[in-house]
Amino acid sequence: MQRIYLVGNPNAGKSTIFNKLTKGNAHTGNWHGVTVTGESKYVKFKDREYLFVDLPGINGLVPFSPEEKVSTQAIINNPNAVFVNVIDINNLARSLNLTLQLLELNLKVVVLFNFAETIKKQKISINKEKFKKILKINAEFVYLRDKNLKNKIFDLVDRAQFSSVDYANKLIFNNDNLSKYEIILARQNLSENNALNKKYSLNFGLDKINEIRQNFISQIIKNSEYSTKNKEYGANKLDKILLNKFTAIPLFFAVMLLIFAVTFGKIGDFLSNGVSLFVEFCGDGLIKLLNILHAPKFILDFFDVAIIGGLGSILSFLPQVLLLFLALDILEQVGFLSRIAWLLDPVLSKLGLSGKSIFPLLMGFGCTTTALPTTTALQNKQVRTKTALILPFMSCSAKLPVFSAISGAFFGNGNIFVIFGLYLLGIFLAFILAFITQKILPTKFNDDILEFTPLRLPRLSVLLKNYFNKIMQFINKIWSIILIFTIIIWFLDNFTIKFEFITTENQTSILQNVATFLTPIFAPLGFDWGAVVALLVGIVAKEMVLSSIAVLNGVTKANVANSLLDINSVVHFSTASSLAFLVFCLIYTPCISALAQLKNLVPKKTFWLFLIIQLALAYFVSLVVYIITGIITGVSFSIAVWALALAFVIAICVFFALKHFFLNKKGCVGCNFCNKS
Amino acid sequence: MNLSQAKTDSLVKILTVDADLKLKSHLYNLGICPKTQIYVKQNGRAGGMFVVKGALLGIKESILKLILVEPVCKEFI
Repeated sequence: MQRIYLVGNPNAGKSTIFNKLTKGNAHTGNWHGVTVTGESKYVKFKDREYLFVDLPGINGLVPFSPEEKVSTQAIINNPNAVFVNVIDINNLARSLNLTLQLLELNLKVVVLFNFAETIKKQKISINKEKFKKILKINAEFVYLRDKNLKNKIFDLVDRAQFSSVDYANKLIFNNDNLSKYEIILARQNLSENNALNKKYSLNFGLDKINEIRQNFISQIIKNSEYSTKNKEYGANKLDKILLNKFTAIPLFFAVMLLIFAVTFGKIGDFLSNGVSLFVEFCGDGLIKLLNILHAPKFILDFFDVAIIGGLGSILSFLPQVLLLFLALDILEQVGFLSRIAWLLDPVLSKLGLSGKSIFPLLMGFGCTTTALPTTTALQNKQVRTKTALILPFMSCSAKLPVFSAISGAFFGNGNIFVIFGLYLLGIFLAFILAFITQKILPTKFNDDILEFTPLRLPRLSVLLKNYFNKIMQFINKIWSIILIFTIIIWFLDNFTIKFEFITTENQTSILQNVATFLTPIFAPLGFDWGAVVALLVGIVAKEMVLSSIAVLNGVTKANVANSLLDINSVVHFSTASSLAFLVFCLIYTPCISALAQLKNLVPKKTFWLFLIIQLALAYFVSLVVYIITGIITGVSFSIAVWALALAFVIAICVFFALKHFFLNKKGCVGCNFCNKS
Repeated sequence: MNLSQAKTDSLVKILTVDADLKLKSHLYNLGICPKTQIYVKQNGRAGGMFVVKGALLGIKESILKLILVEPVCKEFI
């Protein structure tokens, strides 16, 4: 089987070509750092098998970030693979840097000139044959609407030969049984082995080798007759507005406000109610059928409460989740994000972050689990760690059903303000945490350079594909984790410890027995045992919070809101405790899959410390909200006052422990914050 | 002079990049290397925007100071 790696500069369009060739679903976007891990797919074409791998974008073979390391390692560890070098035809001079570095290693390289549709508009000219001749490799233009594109690319791949550049003979002289990559690194003084650097960089060095490469690139540009009318690729007339902080930043916030208004306002509600009615219609039909079949009571209860009530309550929020994803996707595709990242950089730098942090943070509003890996595109280690740690505070779409249902029950049409307030609170807490961390351990050097991607109209096919992927991801999640745990919750709530189906009020369920131990801890927040169970289950998946409430209260989605007001329901709140619950949901630990991602991104000690701080913060802020709201609505809470005092003491102790932990005079404890590699 | 001192709407040529080798390699790969001409589209206190080999880059102050340049046309000093 032939391995084929798609390599190229960031935003060269590799993932789009990958999806075209493999009918894959790699996420594409108009942003550097969209692909952060290699995605691969097997393809069979004309009785031959291929393994295509879409690598993160790189500018050269010396990795400058973890995502670039993924690409570099893949390249140097697979010398017999075919490397399809995807080049943006608008940006040839810079793109050739990577091409030459691939050829220096004597690899099988073919070139694809992407964005060929822009050739006419940008008045680009290039003599493809002369280009192929000077580099001695095959090359092809990529027109995405070309029906014969697949044939052309596979043909190119099949004819790929090991190629090199003439000057590489001067670079590779090996008496020490080293790989070509190790020698070229040493020639540039970039090897980790200083002895090798000393030996091989004599008469060379980084500057000399760069000069050789640039001279050759100039020769290629000249001989292949390349020219382009667009001398400022990436710039646009609209940048007068979009790169002006006095217009762009207000515009950005206005756009975000609009997104929230559409998602959580009348349009989102209308779509959500439509799905809800459909689910209830199907559910009623199913229950009637089961009654006709004389199904036992516990089976009726299982389908009515667990399946229709539990899963249905989540499905009904699918339209709102998808609206949010669509909006973020459009923002990303258009190229607005890179401009906002630049403009927000001075502000974010004061918090120890980078303007580029805005992309992972915005993605966090969609899904924390998929947003966390994108932090590997951030080159500065401290910025990367800090961004990953504050990302869970960006309220993900999975929490939206909980926010919408509970705020709708207690605040009616004002729920949109409550939801918006929750999102703002999450952002505020994230930035406070970043600010405090910056004061304790300032970020040493923000060495980012940002490339402005060209503004492009979002491609409908890409939007629809990403949209479809999100629907499938959501449904897969429902029919796997959520279904299993909904069934488990239903079982634990409807059977006693002797495994008898509960039919009378005197019987207590397994769940109730377990939750009783934890309930006193949460009593000062006004949470009953059902709310505690919902929070515990929410650690598996945040969508489970609402489905478990529906199961525990024995209702469908349409009645969840009303059931929360009924004191006879297992899970019920007052206005004050409902707000406290929402705030707790906002801040406390993210779901298991997000935790697994976070654990891979930050050091172990930092991870556990962060979890403790997050839980403590969730409790403390919820308590404050409960007390303030309780004062306004007339709730008496003497236990809570004591708990507040205790919470203050705990918060102060945690703060000083944090300060002492990171400023330990005995030496570095490996927190990863000091940017030591 | 370093790049942060170059005037907006001027064309400058890079003389040297004074950074550690890894960062230098990264900058070279982006086209910010000796003899490259850069158009200063917009300079500012926290950084600026530059056209480097046809691409529009935002470069922050900390890196601008590492790049020594000379004006291509002396009228723009």
